[in-house]
Amino acid sequence: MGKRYFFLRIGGPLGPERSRRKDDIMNIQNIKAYFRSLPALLRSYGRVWLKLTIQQFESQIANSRGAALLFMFGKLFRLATAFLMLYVIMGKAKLIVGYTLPQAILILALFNFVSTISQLFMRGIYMFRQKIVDGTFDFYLLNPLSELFYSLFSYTDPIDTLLVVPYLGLVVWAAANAGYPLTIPVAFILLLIMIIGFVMVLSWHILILSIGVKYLEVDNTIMLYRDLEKMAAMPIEIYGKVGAGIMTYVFPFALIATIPARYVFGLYNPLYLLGFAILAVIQIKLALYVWHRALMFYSSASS
Amino acid sequence: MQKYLSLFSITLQEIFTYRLNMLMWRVRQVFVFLIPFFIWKSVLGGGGDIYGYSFAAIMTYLFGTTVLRSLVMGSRTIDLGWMINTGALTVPLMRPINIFSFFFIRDLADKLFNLGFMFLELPLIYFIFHPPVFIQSNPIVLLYAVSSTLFAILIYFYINIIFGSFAFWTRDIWAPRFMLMVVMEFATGAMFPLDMLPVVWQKIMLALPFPYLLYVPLKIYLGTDPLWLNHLLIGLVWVIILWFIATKVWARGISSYESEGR
Amino acid sequence: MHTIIADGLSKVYDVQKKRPGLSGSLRDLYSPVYEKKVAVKDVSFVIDEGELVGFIGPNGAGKTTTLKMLSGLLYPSGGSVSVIGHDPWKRQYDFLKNISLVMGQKNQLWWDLPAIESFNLAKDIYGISDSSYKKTLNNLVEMLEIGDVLNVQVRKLSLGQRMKAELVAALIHSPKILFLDEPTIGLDVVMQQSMRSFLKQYNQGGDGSIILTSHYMDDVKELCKRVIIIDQGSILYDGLLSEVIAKFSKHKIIEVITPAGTKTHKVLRKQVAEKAAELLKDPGVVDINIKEVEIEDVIRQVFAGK
Repeated sequence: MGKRYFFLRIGGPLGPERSRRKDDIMNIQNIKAYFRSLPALLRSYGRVWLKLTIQQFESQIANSRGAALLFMFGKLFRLATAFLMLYVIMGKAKLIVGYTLPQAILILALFNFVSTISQLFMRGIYMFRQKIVDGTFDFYLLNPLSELFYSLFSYTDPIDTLLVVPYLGLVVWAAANAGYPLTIPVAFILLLIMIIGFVMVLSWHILILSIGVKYLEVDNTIMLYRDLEKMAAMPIEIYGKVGAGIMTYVFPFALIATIPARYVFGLYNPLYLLGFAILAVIQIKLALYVWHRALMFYSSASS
Repeated sequence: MQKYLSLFSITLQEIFTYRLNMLMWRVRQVFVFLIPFFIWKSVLGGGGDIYGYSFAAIMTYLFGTTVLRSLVMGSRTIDLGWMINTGALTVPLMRPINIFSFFFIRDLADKLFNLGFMFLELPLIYFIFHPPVFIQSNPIVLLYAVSSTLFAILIYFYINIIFGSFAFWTRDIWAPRFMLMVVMEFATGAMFPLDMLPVVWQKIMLALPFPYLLYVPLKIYLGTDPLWLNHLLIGLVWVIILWFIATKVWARGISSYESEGR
Repeated sequence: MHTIIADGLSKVYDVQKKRPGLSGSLRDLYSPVYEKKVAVKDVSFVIDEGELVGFIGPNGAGKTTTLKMLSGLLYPSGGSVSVIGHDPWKRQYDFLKNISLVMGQKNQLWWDLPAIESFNLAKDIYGISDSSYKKTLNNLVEMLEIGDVLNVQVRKLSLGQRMKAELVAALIHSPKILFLDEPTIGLDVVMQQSMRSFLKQYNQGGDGSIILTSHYMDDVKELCKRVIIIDQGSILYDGLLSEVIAKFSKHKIIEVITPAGTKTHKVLRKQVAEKAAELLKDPGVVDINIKEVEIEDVIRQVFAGK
C-alpha cells in the first residue's frame, strides 16, 4: 500500500504507482483489506492530530498566556465590526439583492462559522513557508503519515476551538431570527454542504502549498485567498452573474454561506449538491496531481 | 547623505528579491477594492444616497483610501519586532546611522515601491470600476491635505516602533500586532467612512490616533470635513504624543537589549 | 542481500542567478536567469544488510543530496534507486516505516516540550505497540544514558543531550535503514566519542544498515569499514577504508630513531625496502618503523586533486 493518506486515496500518486494501483483495484482482496484497515488508519490520524493539538496547547502555555486572550479578543472585535458594517449599510437600505437584514445576518454568521472551522483545521499553512525554509518539511516527508496532513492540520489553535461554540450559537440564533429555526434534517443537509465545501477548500489549500514548495511563497497567496474568501460573507449575488459563477464553480465560496442560507430559506434544491460533490472530487484530484508535480521540484533546505 | 541613498536602494532590492511575494501582495491591493465596491454597488447602484453619500461619493472615498493606504501603510518597520527577537537588530545598531532614520528610510523605500506599482494598479482599478475621481484644485486645501498625509505617515511610523518594541520584553509580538491590525482596519475608516457612524461613536473614534491615518487626510483632501482645521491639528498632536512615547519605549527597551548582549 | 541499489543517480538544481544592483533586481523581475547546478552526477553503488557505510567528501560534494535522494526527500533528475525494495520517491508506507534520517543541524523534537512527549508522538505516528515501545525506549535510553533528561524541555538540553534525544526519536520505530547526516557536528570530543560508541553498539546489535556522512575523519575511522568518497558530485572511491591509503598514497613513512631523536622520511612505496636498508647502514640508528601515511592526509590530498 502507498503512503497512508486517507484523503489521498481519492487522488493517488503519479507514474508507475498509478499502474500499480490499477492492479489494486482489479484485486478485490486489496480493496477489502484497504477498507478493513481504514478505521485503524483514521484512528491513528485522529490520535496524532489530538496529540499535536495538545502539544501545541502545552507549548503555547509554556510561552505566553496573554497572547491567546488577545487573539480571542481581536477575533471577536473583528466579528463585531463586520456586523456593525452590515447594520450601518442595511439600517438605511433595508434590502440587499433581495435579502432582508436578518437574512444577510444569517449569511454572515454562517460564513463566520464555516470559515473559522476550515481555518481551524488548516492553520498549518501559515507556518508552511517556515517549515520549508528550516527543513522541518523534510521530517513531514519522512513520516509515514501524509505530509499534507502535517502541513495543514498541525498548529490547530485550541483557543480557536473554543470560539467555534459561540459561533455555532450565533448561527442558530441568526436562523431563528430570520424566521427559519434549524431542524435536524435541515442541519443534516447543512453538514453535507459543509463537507463538500470543505473538500473544495482543502483542494485550494493544497494548491497554495504546491506554489509554496515551488516558489517559497505562501503567506501572500493564502492571504489573497482569504481576501477572496471574505467575499463570501455577503450574499454572492451582489458580485453579479460572472462573479457569482466564479465563486460557485471555481472557488468553494458559495458553499460556505450563500448556498446553505438559501437552502434554509427554502430557495435551494439540495439535489444540486450531487453536482458539487462531483466537482469537489475533480478539484481534489487536480490539486493532488499538482502537489505531486511540485514535490519533484522540492530542493530541501541545504544543511 | 550617500549612506541614506544606498540604504534606500538596498531596501528596494530586498523587496524585489521576493518576486512572487511582492506580486501577490500588490494583487491583493486590487482585490481589497472588490468587496466594498460590490457591496455599495448593490445598495446604491440604482441611485439614491446613504448618510449623504451617493454611489459616486462612496467610490471616490474608497478609491482615495486605496491610494492613501499604499502611501501611509507601506512600511518595513513592521519587521522591527522580528528583528529584535532574532537578534537581527544588532547589525543596523552597529552601523553609524541613527536607528530611527534607518527604519524611516526603509519605510520611504517601501512607500516609493508602492507608489511605483500604484501607477500600474490605479488605471486597472479605474477601468474596471470607474470610480469618479475628484481632483482638488485649491492649492491651500491641497497643502493641508499633504501635511495631514505627512502626519499620517509619521503616526504610523511611531505606532510601528512602539509595537515592534514590545519584542524587547516578550517573544509574542504577533498577538498585539494582530489586535492592532483588526482595530486599524475599522478605526482608520478603511471599511467605510466614519461619518456614517452615530455622532457619539464618531467623537470617540476621532479621539484615537487611527482615523488620522486614512479618514482625516482623505476628508481634508475631498474638502468635506467641516472640522478640518481641528482635525489637522489633532493629527499633529498625535504625532508629537506618539513620537514621545516611541522614544521613551525605545530607550528603555534598547538598554535591556544591549545589556543582555544579544 | 542488497538493501540499497543506486544506479546512475544524479541531481541537477536550477539556481536563479542574481544580477547586481537595483537595475539588476528590476531585470531579474521580468527575465530571471537560471543556472543549472549539478549536485550529484551518475552515482552508482550498492549497500548490503547490516553494513555501516561512510560517505566522505568536502562541503558541497553531494553527500547530503545523495542521502536525501536515498531517503525519498528529493526527486532524482536521473538514474534509479531502490531502498529495501522500494522506490524512495514514492514514499510508500512500508518504506517510511523502515527508514530514519537524522540531520545533525535539524531538530525534529518539539522545542518547547520535554523529549518524552516527542517520543510518545512518534509511537502514535508509527503505530508502535505499547510493549515494543517500552522495550525499545528503555533500551535506547539506557544505551545513550539520557534517562535523567527525558522530562526536561528540549530547548533547555545541551547540544549533546539533544542529539542523543534526536537519535532516540529516530530509532524508536526500529528502522531497518538509518541515514545519518553529520551526526556529530558541533559536539565536543567527549560527546562525539559517546555518539560513536553508541552507533557502533547499535549497528552490532541488529541487522540494520547505517549510512553516515561526516567530515570528521574520526567518525569514519572508528565506525566504517567501507567508505564512499564523493567529490564534486562523483564517486572517487568506493571500497574498504583500509585500502584507501594503499590506493591513494604512493608513499610510506619511515621513522628513524636515533639517540638524538626521531626523524621521519616520506618514501615512495616501491623504494621502501631499499631506503630502509640504506638508512639502517647508519650505525647510530637504534630502531626503525615503517608506517602508513595518516588517513586524514591521504583524504586531504585526494580532495586537493593529488
